[in-house]
Amino acid sequence: MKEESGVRISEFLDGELSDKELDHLSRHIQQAENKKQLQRFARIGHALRAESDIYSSIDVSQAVANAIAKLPHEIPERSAQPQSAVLAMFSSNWFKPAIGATFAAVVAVFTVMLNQTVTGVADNPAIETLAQQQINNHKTINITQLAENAEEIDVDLAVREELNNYLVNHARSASGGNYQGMVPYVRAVAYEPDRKQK
Amino acid sequence: MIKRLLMIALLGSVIPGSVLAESVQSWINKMSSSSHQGNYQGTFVFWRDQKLEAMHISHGSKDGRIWVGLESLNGESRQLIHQNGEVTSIFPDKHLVSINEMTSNLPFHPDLPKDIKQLSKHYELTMLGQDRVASRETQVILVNPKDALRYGFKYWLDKDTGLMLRCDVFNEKKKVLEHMMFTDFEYLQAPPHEAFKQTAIPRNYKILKQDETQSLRKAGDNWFAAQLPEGFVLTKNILKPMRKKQDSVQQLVFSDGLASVSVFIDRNVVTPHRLDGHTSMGSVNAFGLMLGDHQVTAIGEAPLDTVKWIAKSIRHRQ
Repeated sequence: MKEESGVRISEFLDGELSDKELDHLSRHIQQAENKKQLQRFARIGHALRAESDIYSSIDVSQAVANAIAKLPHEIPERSAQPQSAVLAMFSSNWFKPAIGATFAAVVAVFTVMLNQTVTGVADNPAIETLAQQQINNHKTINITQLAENAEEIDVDLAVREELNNYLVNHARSASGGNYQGMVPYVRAVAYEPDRKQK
Repeated sequence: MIKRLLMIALLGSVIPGSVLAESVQSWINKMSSSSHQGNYQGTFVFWRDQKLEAMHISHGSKDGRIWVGLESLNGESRQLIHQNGEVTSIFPDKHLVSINEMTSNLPFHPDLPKDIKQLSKHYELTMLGQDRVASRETQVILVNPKDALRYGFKYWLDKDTGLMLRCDVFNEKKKVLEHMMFTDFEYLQAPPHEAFKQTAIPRNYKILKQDETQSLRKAGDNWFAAQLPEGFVLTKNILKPMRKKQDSVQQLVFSDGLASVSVFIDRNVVTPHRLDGHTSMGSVNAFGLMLGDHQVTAIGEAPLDTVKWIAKSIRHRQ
C-alpha cells in the first residue's frame, strides 16, 4: 500500500494523474496513516532544504542546483481542483523543489560515485621512522609532521569493498561503547550498500 | 531592555562557572541514558561522504531490555534489528541475513569514562542556544575537541528527555563531515513490539551467524597497542569471521567515549588488493600497513592522524 501511494504521489508531482485518480488520491491521503506518511515525506524534503548550507560545501551542489533549475516548478493545473487539506500541501511552492532536490542529489551523488577516486598515502619511510621513534620513546607523535608527509595513491575497488566490510563491522562493534547511542548502528546500515557480497 | 540586560549581567556574575559546566554535563549524561531508554519511533536523514540516506527507527525498552530497529527508506533495502544483545541485519536485495551475538548489551565499556568529567579532559563542552528539530524543542550542546586527535560534535537534545534528535560531526576546520537529523519523531507509551516481530526467513536466504561471546574467548591478547592517543582505551578484542575471508580476522576496538577506531589484523594476506596507506570516506579514515605477514588496517570516525597513530602502534607479543 505504501508503495502504491508513493507511486501515486510521484505521478501527482509529474502531473500524470487523471481527474479520477486525483480524487482517489485525495480520499486515500485523508486516512490518518497516510497523512502521517505524507508528513514524513514532507519533513524529509524540508530537512533537505533547510540544510542547504551544509550541502553547499560539497561537490554535488552545482549539479543539484542545475538539476533543480531544469525542473518545472509550476504545479499542474489539475491541482486547482477541490482537494483535501493535506493534498493542498503540495501546492505550496517548496514541496516540488524539495523532491527535485532529493532526485537531483541522488543523480549527482551517483555521478560523483562514478568519478570518485579514492586516494591514500604510500607508506612513507619518514613517517614510519618518526612514528616508530616516538612510540618507542613514549612521546607524543607530531601530528603536523605526519600530515605534511602524506603522499596520495589510488586505491582500487577491491580494497574499497574490503574497507566497507571492515567499516560495517566496526560500526556494529562500536555501538554501546560510547555516548552516541544508535549512531554507530546508523552508520552500519548506511555503509552497507558500499559493501559487495561475494 | 536595559533592565533585562542588567539582569542578565547580574545573573552571569552570580552563577559560578562550575554550575554552568555541571549543567552541560547533566545534558550529556541525559543524552547518554536516554539513548538506551524510552519508547519511540521516527524518521531521520543521515548525510555522509556526499551521500544522503533516509531511515526509520523504532526503539523500545522495558525491564532493562532494549530493542532497536532501523530500516533504510531509500536505495538498497536494509534492516537492522538489535534485540537484547543480538544484532540481526536483513538485506532482502542480497537474500542475506546476518546475525551477531554481541558481547555486551551495556551502554558503556567498563574502562570508558562513565564520569562525564573525564570526557572534559579531551573535549570542551558548551551549552549553545535552543533550537527546534522535528517539531520538538531542543537544547544545543557543542562538544569541541581540545586537540587535533578527535572530531567535534554538535548535539541537538530533546528538552524533555535529552534524546539526541540531531548530530553534526565536524573536523578541526569546522567543516561538517557527517550529519544526522530526525524529521519526524514520536514518543510511544509502550515498546513498538510490532516493529520487532520475528518473521520467518525465506529458504533462499543465506544466514551468517556469529557469536561474539565465542569469538572473544579465542582472541587472546597477542596483539596490542604500544602507545595509544591520550584518552583512548581498548574496549573490545575479538576474532571475527568475515565475508570473503577464510580465516577469522582479529578486531581491536579503541574508544575515548565519543570517537572509536577499530584495528583489523588479517593473517597471511597475499592479495594485491590491500590498503597500503590511507583513504578517507566522509568522517571515516582508514590506514593500512603490513606488519610481518599480517595486514593491519585501522578504520574509524576519527582524524587521519589518530587512525594512523593507532595503526602504527600495533605490536605482536612474542
